[in-house]
Amino acid sequence: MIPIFAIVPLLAGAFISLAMARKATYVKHVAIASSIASLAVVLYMALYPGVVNSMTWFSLGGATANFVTSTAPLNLLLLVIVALMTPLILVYSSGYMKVSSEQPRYYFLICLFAASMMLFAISASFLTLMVAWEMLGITSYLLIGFWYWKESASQAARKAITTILAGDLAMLSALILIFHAYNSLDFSVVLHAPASPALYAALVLISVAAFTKSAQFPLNEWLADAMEGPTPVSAFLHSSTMVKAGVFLVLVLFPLYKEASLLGLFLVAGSATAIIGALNALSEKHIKRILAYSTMEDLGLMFVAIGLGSVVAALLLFVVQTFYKALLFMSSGIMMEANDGRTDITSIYWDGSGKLLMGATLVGVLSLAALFPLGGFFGKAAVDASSNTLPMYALLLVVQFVSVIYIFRWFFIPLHRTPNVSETDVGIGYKTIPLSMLSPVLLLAIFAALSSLTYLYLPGYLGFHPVAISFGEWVAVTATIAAGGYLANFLYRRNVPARARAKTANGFFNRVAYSSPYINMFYMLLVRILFSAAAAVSAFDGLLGSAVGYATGLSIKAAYLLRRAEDGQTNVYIIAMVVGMIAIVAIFYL
Amino acid sequence: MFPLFAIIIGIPAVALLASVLTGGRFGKRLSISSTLATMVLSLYLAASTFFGNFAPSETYGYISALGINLKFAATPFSVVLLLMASIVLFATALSGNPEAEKEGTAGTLILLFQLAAVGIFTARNLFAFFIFWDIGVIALFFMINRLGSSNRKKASYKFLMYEIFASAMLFFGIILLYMTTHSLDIGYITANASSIPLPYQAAIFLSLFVAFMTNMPLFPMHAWLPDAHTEASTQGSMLLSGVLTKFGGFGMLLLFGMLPIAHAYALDTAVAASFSAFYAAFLLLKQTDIKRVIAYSTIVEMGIIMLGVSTLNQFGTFGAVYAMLSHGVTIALLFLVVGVLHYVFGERDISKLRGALSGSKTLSYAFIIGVFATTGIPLTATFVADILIFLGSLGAFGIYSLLPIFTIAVMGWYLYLVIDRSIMNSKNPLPVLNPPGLKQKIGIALLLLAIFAFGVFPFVIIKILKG
Repeated sequence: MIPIFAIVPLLAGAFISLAMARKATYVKHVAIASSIASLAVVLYMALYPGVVNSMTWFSLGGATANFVTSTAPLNLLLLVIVALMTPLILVYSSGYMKVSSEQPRYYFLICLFAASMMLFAISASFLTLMVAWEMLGITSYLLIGFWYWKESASQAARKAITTILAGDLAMLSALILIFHAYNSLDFSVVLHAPASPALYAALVLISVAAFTKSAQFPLNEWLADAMEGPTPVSAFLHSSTMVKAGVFLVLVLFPLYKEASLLGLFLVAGSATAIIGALNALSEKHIKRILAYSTMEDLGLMFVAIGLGSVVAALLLFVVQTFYKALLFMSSGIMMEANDGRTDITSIYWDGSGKLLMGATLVGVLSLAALFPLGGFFGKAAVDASSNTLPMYALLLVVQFVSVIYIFRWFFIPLHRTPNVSETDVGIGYKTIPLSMLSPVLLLAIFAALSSLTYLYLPGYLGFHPVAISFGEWVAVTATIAAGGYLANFLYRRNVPARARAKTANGFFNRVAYSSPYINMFYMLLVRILFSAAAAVSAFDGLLGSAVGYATGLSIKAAYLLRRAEDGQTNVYIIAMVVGMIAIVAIFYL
Repeated sequence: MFPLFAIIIGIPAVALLASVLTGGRFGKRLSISSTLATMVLSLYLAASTFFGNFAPSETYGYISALGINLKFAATPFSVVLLLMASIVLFATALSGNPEAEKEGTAGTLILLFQLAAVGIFTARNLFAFFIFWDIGVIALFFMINRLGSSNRKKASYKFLMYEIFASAMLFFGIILLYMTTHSLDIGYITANASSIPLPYQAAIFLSLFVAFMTNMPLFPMHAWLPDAHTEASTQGSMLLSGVLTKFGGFGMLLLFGMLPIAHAYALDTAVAASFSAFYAAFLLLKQTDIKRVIAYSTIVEMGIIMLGVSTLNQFGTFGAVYAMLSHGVTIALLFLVVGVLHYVFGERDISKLRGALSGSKTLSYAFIIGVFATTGIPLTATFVADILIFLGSLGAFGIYSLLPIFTIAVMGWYLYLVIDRSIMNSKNPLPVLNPPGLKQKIGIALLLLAIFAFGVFPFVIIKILKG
């Protein structure tokens, strides 16, 4: 079966959804059915891996651009994850999206988004990759700006697409460099190509593109703002799609990066991002933005693992992060729903009802905190295990310590807040959570717990050496969790909002950590420079215009002067004639 | 023998005559049916070229003693450009005038311009080329002068001054070519150009280059374009950016394919073209009228096209043709949408137009897709064009020739800002004054279809270009 068939049902579902503007109530069923059909196709494909299909898009002057798709094990891994997540997200959406007039557009975009990511997963040439890459970019742009009439959503969408556009053009340049150097865009050709300066430049450009998609320092600013989109989109975007694209691309091209000794790039960017993400998550109050910064941290850790040369560790975290992050986003969506759309964790409550939800969320929280034997432990411990120097190891442990604190902060503050009556009256509360929103969360909790199995089976499936997590590793990570948990308990559990706020609201720490002000300032400076240059060019253009105008004026004046010689006054003609004759006589005879 | 070119040229000529004789009463209907017929014919021409049947050339004597005759033929480039021009012309005639103002005059002038466009892309004789060139300029001069907005007189004269200068340079170059080769036949000149003495070649090259760069336009001859666009009617803008600027681009292709001395100047023209693109990209950042923003994006795009022509290799040249194809339909779409937005909301200034998406979904999404196409998203035609052009320039000039990609980023950033301010964000949305009509929607749909068709099936166009 040709790999591209995996996305056909989803694409069909997307366009049928769009066409169903009149029967909006049935749109969700179409979308869910198409995603399940895609999942079925993908699972069938997983039985027969290793299919490669190539179609020529155009060929010119000895160079051929092929549209190659493949279901090699690594491709299948991402494909299955995305195919598995899509129905869950859509089921959750069916409870989340209530306005029926917006539903056709919503399901169209989200099906297209999923299809782009699946196309990305199976791409085996830079051409396929580029198509999927930019489709991801524009669908995420339209999804982040889904509630376009809100000023904040519109701006967040622009911030995202501005960053993504830079990455897209870096990608385009890399594609052109590679196409020129090897006359082919197939991964199979490029991965075995001899090293060359063009390839080196292309790899650097691709890493820039990967950083824009995966929100790595210094291109990380768009991700937190992307929270303006609908919550299912956040859950999708942060777990299996979009942000994972950058990491996955680097994993696919890992041998080239290793050969070109460019891994240090990922180490630096990844650790910087992990620190920024962790600190921001600690100081943020928006329930979804905390999770967004946490995603940044996770992605940073994946890049650190890549930078340390451990593909397996990066892949383990890649897989397990998908489930716990989607889970946490989905439950944060339910919490917002129950609280009448409030987003500040200090004004959200969580009462005793909704035990199932709470249990499931706790699984996600503990998995993020890397508690053994949940999935998160294996991801993060594997990254720790791949570090080779003590400072690196210490840094990773500190980041994990901070992440334990912030995730418990995220969990404890709403849990231990006693709501006042006005709050419980407005929101729908936790008693009437629709099953369509709850069931994906419960399913994801099971996945998050079971994802620890990837530690046992994933390396073998992909043909890598398994990463060894020693007992010392286990002790170190568990001790970090214990210490972080104790501190978080002290700070936030004892229900002292004043103390908790005093710890994080003001002062130097907040100025540095809260929504990374210095990165924003840097970009503002860049924009200012760009616009100053534009002003200078514009002034010059004005000068040029007035110079042309002046020259025109001069020629008109010259015309007026000449006209005097032709104004029909006979006496002037006679005088000129006499003067001329005298001059001729003078020249010839003197 | 089926006189295809005589029919292609004859249709607008007859329609024009009919329109003039009836005093422009049927101008609109005649222009729509004439452009539709040309579109069908050029699709037929493209299809038959794709399947390997080249239409034979046709020659009609005019002043045969001096070598002046009307010779028409389909080169691969002209098939593609004719296709683009005919699509843009049909969309313009059908939907470019939502206000339904002076439809008779507009239709007649579109017919005049159509005559010029189909003539210039098929002409194989420099005399015919020059005649059609000037017809195009005159048609658009009247289009701005008669149908534009309040400040149209000044803008139209500015346009005319620059274009007459271009015509003079073109004329000078053609005369020099005739003096040195004793022929006006483009094919003959191309085959024998190496026998022209080098100083003459340089003089011919420079005069023709200046003529075409004024028309394209490139820095420093660009000043007419923004004003002309701001003042022209929607139809005028669509034809100006979509088709007229391609006259210059097509001329550049002929020139660089004709004179061997072009190799000596290629690097200079590439640098000048890139500079022009950067210059326009920075100017674009200072504009607040959406129409002006798009007008400057044309200069950026034409700079990139010129870079492709300068490479003198297959990738770059094909890329330049492809970019003219994609830019023609994309820019026509953008101008059409902005024109209709102006008709619907009564505003097209970034600071005043608000919440277009709340008012009209069709227009707003068409604009957003137009911006995607401008930034070269895959599956739109611009993507293929960008790849080909920069592949060519990388081969010809090395890695620094990738720098103009940055201008696409600058342009894209600003266009996304426009979307943010005027299309999406609806803090105080403007009310809908007039809903867009069906004809406008058909025109937008046609142009969108063209953008995606050329983007998804590049092998069709590339096979035509290979000949």
